[in-house]
Amino acid sequence: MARRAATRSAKSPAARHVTQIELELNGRVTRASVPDHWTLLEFLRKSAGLTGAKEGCNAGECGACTVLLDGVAVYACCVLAAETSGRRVMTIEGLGTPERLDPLQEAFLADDALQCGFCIPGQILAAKALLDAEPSPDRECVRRALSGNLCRCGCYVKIATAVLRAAAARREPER
Amino acid sequence: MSDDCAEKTVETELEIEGRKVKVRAQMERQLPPWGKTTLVGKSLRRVDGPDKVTGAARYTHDVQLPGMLYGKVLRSPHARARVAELGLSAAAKLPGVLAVLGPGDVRGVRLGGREVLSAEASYAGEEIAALAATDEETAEEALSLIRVRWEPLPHVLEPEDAMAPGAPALQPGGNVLGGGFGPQTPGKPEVYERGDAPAALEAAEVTLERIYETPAAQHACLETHGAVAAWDGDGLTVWESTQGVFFVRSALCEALGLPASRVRVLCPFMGGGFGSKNSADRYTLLAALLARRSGRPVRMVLSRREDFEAGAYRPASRQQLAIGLTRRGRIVALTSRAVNPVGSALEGHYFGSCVGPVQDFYSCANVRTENYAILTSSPPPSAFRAPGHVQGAFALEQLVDEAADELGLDPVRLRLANLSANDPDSGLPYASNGLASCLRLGAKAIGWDSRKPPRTKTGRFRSGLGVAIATWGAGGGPPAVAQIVLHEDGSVVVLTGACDLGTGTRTVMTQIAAEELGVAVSAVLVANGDTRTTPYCLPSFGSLTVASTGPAVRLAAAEVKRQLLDAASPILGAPASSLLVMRGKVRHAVTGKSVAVASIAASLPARMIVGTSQRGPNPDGVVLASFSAQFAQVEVDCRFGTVRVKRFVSAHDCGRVLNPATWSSQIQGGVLQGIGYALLEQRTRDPGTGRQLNAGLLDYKIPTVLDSPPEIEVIDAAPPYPANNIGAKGSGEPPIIPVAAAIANAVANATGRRLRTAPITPARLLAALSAEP
Repeated sequence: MARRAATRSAKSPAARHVTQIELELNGRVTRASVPDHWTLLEFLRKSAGLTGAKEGCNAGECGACTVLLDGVAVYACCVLAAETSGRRVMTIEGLGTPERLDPLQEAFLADDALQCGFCIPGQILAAKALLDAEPSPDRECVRRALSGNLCRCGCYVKIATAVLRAAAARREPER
Repeated sequence: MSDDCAEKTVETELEIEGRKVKVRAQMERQLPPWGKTTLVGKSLRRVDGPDKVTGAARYTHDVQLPGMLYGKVLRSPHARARVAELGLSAAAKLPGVLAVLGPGDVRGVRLGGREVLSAEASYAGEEIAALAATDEETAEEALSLIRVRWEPLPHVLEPEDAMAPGAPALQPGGNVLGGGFGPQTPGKPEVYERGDAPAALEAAEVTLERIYETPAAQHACLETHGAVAAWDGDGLTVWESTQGVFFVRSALCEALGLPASRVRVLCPFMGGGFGSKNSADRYTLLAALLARRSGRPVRMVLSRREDFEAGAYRPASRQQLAIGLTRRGRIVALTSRAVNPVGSALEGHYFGSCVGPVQDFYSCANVRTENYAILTSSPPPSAFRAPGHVQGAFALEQLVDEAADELGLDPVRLRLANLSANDPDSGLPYASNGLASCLRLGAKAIGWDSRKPPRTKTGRFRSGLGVAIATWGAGGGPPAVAQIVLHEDGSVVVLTGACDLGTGTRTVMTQIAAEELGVAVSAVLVANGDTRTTPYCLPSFGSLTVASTGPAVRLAAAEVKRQLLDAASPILGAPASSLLVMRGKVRHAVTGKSVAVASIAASLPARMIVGTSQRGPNPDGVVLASFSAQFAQVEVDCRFGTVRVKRFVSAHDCGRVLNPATWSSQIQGGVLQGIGYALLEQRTRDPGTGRQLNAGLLDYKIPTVLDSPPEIEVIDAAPPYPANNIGAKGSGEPPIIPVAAAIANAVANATGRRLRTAPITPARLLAALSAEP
């Protein structure tokens, strides 16, 4: 749901330059006015009300804010919100809901590929970008594709297993 | 509580993070061990998993309140300096800034014995002033408008320098304190002694003396420390990313002079703790103070840099160990002299005693440890997953390997020969002890029999096997209270104060309650971590949550079941003792006549059944510990000095495994953190300024998926554990304890070189490889 960026004091330094953007956010055309310097992550979390992408470092180091930009996994903290106009953004909220899980989300639950869960939205979206481009990866390929997503709880073994399980599920013809 | 034993209380002992404490406990109703279980012991999916994989889970970082301000902190750029002048007015005048606090504004507000804002910085990153503004950018700009005239003071970062004559005294009593828990005697170490270790060393047939060093390692929780505070009149609500809502509450109440009834602390989801989030910290108090001053909610979330620079860490250590053995490999003496640099303050902070393993891993009559805590110009330390034991095991478990090499004995056999049937310190028996099974099963799984001596290995890539063990007090204990409410429709709410750190607390408590009550998992909701609505327990630390809260949940469920059967008895026309609950129905054991749980509850005058129970005492005369043996297979690249962990086997005795899926996740996670500690992680600082050089996740290296072995085999080697009603011990910390030593031992087996300093970096390994063996 599109929402206006919070109105600010006219004198506030943050309010001096804003840009109107129109993007496809989780399948919906969304218009917003965002401060020029805002990252996509700030727009998602502070303005669009989508907090599934997490801020772990705000410096492109941890991957907790990974989202899909035109289908490619990007760190939302390293993309300006203004750059996303006319493009497609998918966050974890656009992938599935607790009632209708995506095969990747289902696989992460089946393999218990999560602990605290803070990095998991980013892990799942990085995995989705991989499987959309390479439907039949091997374990080493999965590990390389997810090497930009840190997990301090240490779920890496099960995450790779879950992605392989999801890949197999996606290849199965719908029954 | 209806138990007739409810009035009796007794003194009991529990062990928290290696520290034994006495508490009073209420006697509990004795429940027989479960027979065959239908839910406990099964890999039930995480009950909060769907929220976590869809982004619906709300962490403290995600809390957004109407009118919420963003709080920021001005921190000292100097390792030690006095604030001669502090000019806050320009910051306060910036539009959008609604509250500014300096040390003078919060005098007397104390946390852990120290003022919440300091006019004299004792480490780089210490909090000097704080403010709140309508957005983050304004808050940051306001910080830049604060004028400070600093008077730098001499600082000291390294313990050797702090102990040297003429070193600047960081506290009036000097820089040398005893480590450990007891009263501190300035200038003196904490000493532990049993038998006569110096004489036994002197007399031993074989002695080895070695020095081991470990780095300051940081938790690097993916969710940085943070809190959101909001006032409603004189009541305060705080969302905090914490392991223990009640510890946060008591810190807030004490600092702000508020009654517990007026402070609500919540933590529905949290993004990692590992010991660094056991209580409130200064940011928590600053959020509350700024919110009070501004009249608006305040979000105070640390940046990644702040989280590193001013945040928690496992202190470094320098450990001088000696071991004495007979030629046949019997350990007769152990000594350790350990130096722990503990930052600028010990009061109110926990750092862990790295001499513990020397005292309690092996049967040995003659042990002496000296433990020094040295003040330095660094942040205060904190607990970090098995505080002390991780450092201590790195030293002891290598020394035991070195002794095996010296004697030409197999390291697994040497360990098996020296395991203790009883707790070596107290002489009391363990309630259960599966350590020998851990060693045997782990050795089989890794293929220990194929281990070859290093002299047989040549070429660039060399493979090696290593082993190490752990013992860890993980029996849990009181206080832990649980309340279970059976509602009129048969649905059940389990109320517990325990925070779920991602270990699966919610899921496991669901299993325990559903198992005991005889209802479906889907009927049970665990509501936890809220000081307003859930009953008291300790933080989720010390590997104690399952073994403390789990028995209380089972007792509360048993109490609800008792009331349920009493209510069903007249409906079914049969005595309660002939009834049981299965699949949501109360059923007569013989006739099979049944009535739905929901219809019984709805027929009650109260329309609900409430059961409240608390964890009883631990049994006297036994010691409660979890055990672990871990095995690493590494491949060393002798050209580049890198170590790859190719396989890892982690065998554990932590009693009954309640959920194999969440349990093995936690074990694998401990192994991963151990791999980071062994090979990658160390805080580095600029000696001139005392500022951290690697205060970010790019430069402070935590393991990535590529640092993980493709598989980590987890083995359950537990004998039955009789010391609580669910048969489970703790498993949070044992999996990290032996990892670094197992890897170092594997590197030695691969190369013939001993790496006695962690982390084992390529530079250190190449230097060792180029030196004479």
